[in-house]
Amino acid sequence: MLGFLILLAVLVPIFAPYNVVQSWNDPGAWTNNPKLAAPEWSEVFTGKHLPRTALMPYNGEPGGFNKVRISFNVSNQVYTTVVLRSSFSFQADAFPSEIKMFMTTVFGNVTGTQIKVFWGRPDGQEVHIFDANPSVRAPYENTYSLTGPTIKDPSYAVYNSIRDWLILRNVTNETEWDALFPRIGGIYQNPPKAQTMLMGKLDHSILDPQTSEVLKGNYSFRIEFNGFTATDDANARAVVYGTVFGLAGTDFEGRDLLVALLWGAPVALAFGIAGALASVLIQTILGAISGWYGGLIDEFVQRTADFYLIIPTLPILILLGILYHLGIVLILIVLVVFGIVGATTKVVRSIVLQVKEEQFIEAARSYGASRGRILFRYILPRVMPYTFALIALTVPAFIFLEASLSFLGLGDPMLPTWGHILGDAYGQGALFASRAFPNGMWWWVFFPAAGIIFTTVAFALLGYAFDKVLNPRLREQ
Amino acid sequence: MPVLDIKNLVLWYRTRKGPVHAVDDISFALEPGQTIALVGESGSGKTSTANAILRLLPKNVLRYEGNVVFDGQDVMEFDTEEFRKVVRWRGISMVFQGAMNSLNPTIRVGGQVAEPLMVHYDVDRDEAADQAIEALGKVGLSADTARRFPFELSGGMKQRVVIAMALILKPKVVILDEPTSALDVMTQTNIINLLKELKNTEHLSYIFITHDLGLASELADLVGIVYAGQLVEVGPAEGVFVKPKHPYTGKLLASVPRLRSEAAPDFIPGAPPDLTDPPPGCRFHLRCPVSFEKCGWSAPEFIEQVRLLQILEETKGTVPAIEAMTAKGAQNLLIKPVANGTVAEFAQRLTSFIAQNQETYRFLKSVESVQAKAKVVEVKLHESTPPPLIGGDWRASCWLLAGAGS
Amino acid sequence: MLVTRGGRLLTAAAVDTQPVADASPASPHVVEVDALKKYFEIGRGLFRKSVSLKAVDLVTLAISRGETLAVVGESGSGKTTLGRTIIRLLEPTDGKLLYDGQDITHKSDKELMWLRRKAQMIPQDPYSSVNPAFPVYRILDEPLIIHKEGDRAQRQEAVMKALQSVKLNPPEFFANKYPHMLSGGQRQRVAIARALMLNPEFILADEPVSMLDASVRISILRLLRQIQLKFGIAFLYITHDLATAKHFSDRIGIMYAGRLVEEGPVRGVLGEPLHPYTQALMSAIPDPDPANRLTVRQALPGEPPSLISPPTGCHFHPRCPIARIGLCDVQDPEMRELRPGHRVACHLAN
Repeated sequence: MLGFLILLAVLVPIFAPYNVVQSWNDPGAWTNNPKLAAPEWSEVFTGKHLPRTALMPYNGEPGGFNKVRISFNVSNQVYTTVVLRSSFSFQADAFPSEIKMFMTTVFGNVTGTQIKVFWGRPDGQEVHIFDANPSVRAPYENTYSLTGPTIKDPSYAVYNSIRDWLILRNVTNETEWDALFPRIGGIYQNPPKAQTMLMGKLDHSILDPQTSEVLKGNYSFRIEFNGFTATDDANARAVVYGTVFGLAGTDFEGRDLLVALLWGAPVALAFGIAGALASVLIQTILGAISGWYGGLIDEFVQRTADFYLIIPTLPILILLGILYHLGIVLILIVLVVFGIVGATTKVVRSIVLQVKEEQFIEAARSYGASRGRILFRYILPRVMPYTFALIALTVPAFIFLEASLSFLGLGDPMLPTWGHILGDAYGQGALFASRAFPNGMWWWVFFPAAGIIFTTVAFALLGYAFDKVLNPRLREQ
Repeated sequence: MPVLDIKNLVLWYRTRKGPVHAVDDISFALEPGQTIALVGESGSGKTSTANAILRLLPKNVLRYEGNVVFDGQDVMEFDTEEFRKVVRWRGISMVFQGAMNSLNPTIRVGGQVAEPLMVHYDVDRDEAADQAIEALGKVGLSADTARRFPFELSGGMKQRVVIAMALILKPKVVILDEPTSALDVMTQTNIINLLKELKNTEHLSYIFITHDLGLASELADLVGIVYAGQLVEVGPAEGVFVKPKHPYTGKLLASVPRLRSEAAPDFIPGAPPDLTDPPPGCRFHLRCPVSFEKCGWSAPEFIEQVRLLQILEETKGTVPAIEAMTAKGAQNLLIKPVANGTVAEFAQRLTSFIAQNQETYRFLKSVESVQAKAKVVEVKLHESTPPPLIGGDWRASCWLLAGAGS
Repeated sequence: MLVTRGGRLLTAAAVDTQPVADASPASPHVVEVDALKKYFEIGRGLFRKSVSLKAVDLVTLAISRGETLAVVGESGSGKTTLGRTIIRLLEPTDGKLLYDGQDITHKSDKELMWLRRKAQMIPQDPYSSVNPAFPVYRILDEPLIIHKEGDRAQRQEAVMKALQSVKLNPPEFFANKYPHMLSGGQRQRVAIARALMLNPEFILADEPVSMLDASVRISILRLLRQIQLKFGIAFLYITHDLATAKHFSDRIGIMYAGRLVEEGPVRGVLGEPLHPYTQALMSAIPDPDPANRLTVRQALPGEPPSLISPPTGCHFHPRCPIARIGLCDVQDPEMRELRPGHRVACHLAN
């Protein structure tokens, strides 16, 4: 188990460069990922073929939008039109989670620059879903969400277009629509899910997302851009977001959790091992000195250890986290400082007290070994086996501490550690079942939790194995 | 009629390294009022014999056979419950090694002595308390000792308490396993005197287990010498202590430093054998000063002894130059000489080396023949079987007693 | 550089560090003990005065070069403490301690480094007498490394020689073993070899064989005797076993409750024990004799006294068969030489 983890810890930093971590914190890097998507393999449990994300990149990139641009001059007025087309094939059994369009536009100061978006369906229907005025110029993108249920998106325009189209097709009427999707002050109380209508079989069942059947086949975007200067231009890309992604799913920002998972490993290991090593080694040496020299030194160290044992580490860390910004290295240092003396000191001291009484120690004094030599060369090697076991068993404690802190939001906000992911998940109510997520967003919780548990168990087993090796030998003596 | 007649008792344990032959066919008979001392080095199987008699067996028993005839009845046939009621503690009780240190420190002494009564006999507490005080009195402890805790007592007093515990159910046989090992010389004498007295007043038979021959002679009517799980000699104290029949007994007696004589103590070279792999033939032959051809030297042992001779200061120059030795079965081995003359010459040199050294290095006596073959010399060793116990009431297992020559 | 002196191998370093560097010994005795006292303060809690445990209470003796003095006593007699005090693992509470004529009573550890070469000890318990974590060659190397004797090659040679002296042959085989691979007797041999590494003049053997099997004991004690004869080392052999003391020492001292009660040549003391305690001790030990079971052996009543509050006057008087009230319970007996070289501390012995 441990071997696998170590392998991971070593390989990940080599192959996945650090900028992955930076991109973790950059929302722009994840725009092509569906948000809150379950892992792809989980569709096995649903029995349905779940939609993957379909990308239609910009014109100029492979598989990109088809673009035709015409610019002409009539009566001293330049008219530029760009028509962009793309299509995708949809074969899944469930609807996409979101549909978004991104356009980069170049336009002058003239008002009236406009885009028109048309949606083509496999059953031959084409719906004029919305019009919009681009607001930002290239290189920035204009984002249009067809399914985002806020009034600011064109989604409201889309809903209305859909309503008109459905009424026109005699699938419903105004009364029914208003009854199903009431509006108060123009705000939909229970907005329709655009994708179930845009992509559902055209019959009455289309009105209810639960009953709407997916219409499989080729869908298309047709975008018309009308501008009024010679340099006007437009390019578009669209993403039809699936509901599943990757091996570990995504979180609420669309970030691939596999990255977090893999990156969490070396962080957890490094943190845990470094912390455990430092703290246990320091405690061991102090405990050994305390036991061997006895007297005032012993009293001093032991009382300090008593004091430390009473201090509640986690609450203090929480306090510090609230008051100061805690980077991960700082957390480590604080934990080690809190771990200079502790239970290990006492355990080691009692081992040393025992070994001290053994006759070869006395014999060593009789052939002139100095006290320091005896301590470091004769006694500590007897203590070391215990120390290794203790290190192995302390690593999980450190990992948990870091995970707890990150979970509470007080850890390093930059690093995608497992605790951090869990904290995000908790904050988003990942474990609560909802209509959209009947099992909660289980993958969001499962993978980081599994990571922590796996690592912890691996170290606990290692410590246990150490123990088994050591104890029989000592009983022999 | 003997109060205890042990016949062919066998106890083998199962361990990772193989079967441990802790008790390997031990037989002796004890008359009422008689004491037998079982004497041997540590690890020889004496304590295991006691455990076997009292059926105090661990979980990994491989073989447990034989007849334990107590008061005319073979108690090996009893089931666990019967054995517990009739034999254990009631007919035969035991004072364990280091028992005084295993007294329960949290229970008063009187309670611990009374416990077997309450457990075995359902005697009520007051009656049991009285009997406990009586038992303590028999071992020379005053009545108010019963109210004390073990840590308040000295080593000698604790040992007396343990003896009282062994006597509480009025057994006929008491097994004493090193009852004085952790005690001072004076206290030891006092305890032995107590045991001598109790033997008479309580009509007890003892099985006295010890490694100390001097102590054994304080109580023993009969002496049994235990070696590698076997009884190699058993006979009357007058005989065994004075003119022992078995070479091991002789060596053991010679190794006791005597306070009242000037004889320098001798020592037995080597170490007791591993009970998982006892030597073939007579188990003592590797260390025996008078071993000869019937004693059971095997080819691998022979080879190892030759190797030792090659390193020893005294002999390394004289051993004929050997390149390699291999065992061919249990009784034969092949020696390849260093290419230095013919094989026949080497065989000659070997034969004369054997003749010259066989009195000092007894293993050489086991050679039956030395034959020169094509490139090697084949050495054949005498066949051997383990010696039986030869003799009647005083018997020892040694081929020397069978009238065979040296 | 290796130098021989008087048949014993020395290294150049050894000649330099001893403060009084001389070619001939200052006194015939390697160890002299004069009115030695070693008391331990036992604390009795915060509010009670501490009490003294008088482990060694006015002991005077001397050990000559190349001889074995056995100190025999029951447990609790103070003999172990006496041994440790003599090689200065403990500091005497009172009295004088001389080694090779030099006063070492109150010197510090640093000043006593030269003593740490000349005086060695062999502990009692084969299971803890040698460091279980080190292989044998390392155990034997340590004294040499600490005293900076020789380079690696010379140390290796010394290790092999030492293993041969204690009959652990072949030495190469044993040098790489760890203690748990060896038997009790073999471990004690390693402990003995370790004591020999620095060419000592004096060895404290504290019950070196009492935890070994009977048959192994004799071989180890014989080995110690051989080593003594070969290297001229003086031994202080502490034991409770009078019989082994008889066969393996030159002189014997009997200790009771922190005091020396009788001392003299072994044959003399054991042939004619003058102190009632020695007499009782001797009659309490059985030799293997079938007649023993027919008689009751004489034994002393009672127990050895506590060292915290020993009896007044002669410590033995409560158990003594010939004690005279008014004398023995009041006055401490002095050591008197009643036979040549044979001293007794008893008012009534003669």
